[in-house]
Amino acid sequence: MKKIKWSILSLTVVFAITAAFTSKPHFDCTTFQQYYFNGSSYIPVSAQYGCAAGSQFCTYYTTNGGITYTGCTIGTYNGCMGCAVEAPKTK
Amino acid sequence: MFKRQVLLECISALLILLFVYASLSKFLDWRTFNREMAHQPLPHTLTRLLVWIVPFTEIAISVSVIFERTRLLGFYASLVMMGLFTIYTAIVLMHLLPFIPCSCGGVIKRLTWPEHLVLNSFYTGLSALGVVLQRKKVLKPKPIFHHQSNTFV
Repeated sequence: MKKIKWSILSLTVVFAITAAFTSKPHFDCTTFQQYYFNGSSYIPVSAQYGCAAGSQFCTYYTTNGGITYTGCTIGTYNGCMGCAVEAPKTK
Repeated sequence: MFKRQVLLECISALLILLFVYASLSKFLDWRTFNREMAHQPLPHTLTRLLVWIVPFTEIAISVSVIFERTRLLGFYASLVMMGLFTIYTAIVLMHLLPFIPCSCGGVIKRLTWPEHLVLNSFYTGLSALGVVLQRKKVLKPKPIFHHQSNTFV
């Protein structure tokens, strides 16, 4: 009986821990406003931006009001119509 | 006797599953849990305390229902905690409070308030059953061996 008890309880604990880790919400940078870097400043883009294949960062995001920007999506920004939603911000 | 023991182990396992999962989910998404707790219609000082009390109580209950000595205490604590959660959910469903964000962890937060009420009621009932069964087991008088007549009294 004791062996069965400890087997069931151990399995339950392992299952609960695994479930908690697998259902942990993952950080998704694309939920933040996206910006593209035009060489001198970061320009906010609308949701319809396009990224061509590439190895550099296509869009960036900021979590501190534009003080620093972090790369988010990979590729080469190829723009889209009406992407700029506000005045460009300088870094 | 054997059936009751198996039932007690199953109740303990279900409580451990819920409380370990819920507490760990809170710790893994600590920032969200804090934010949601801060939006509860409770005094700020109380929510600051509850942020720590709730997950640690859940872990304490999980540990206490494992061991025979502390199991009854664990069932009582679980009954009180789940009872309070059920009352809270019922208050929300009766619209006695404005909209309250869910402060539970992991996939449980995806449940609607009526689903929450069902889950909480189920676990409150389960804890109550655990208390009844464990009390019967603990308080059952053990037979005393009478040496002179070589019989159990």
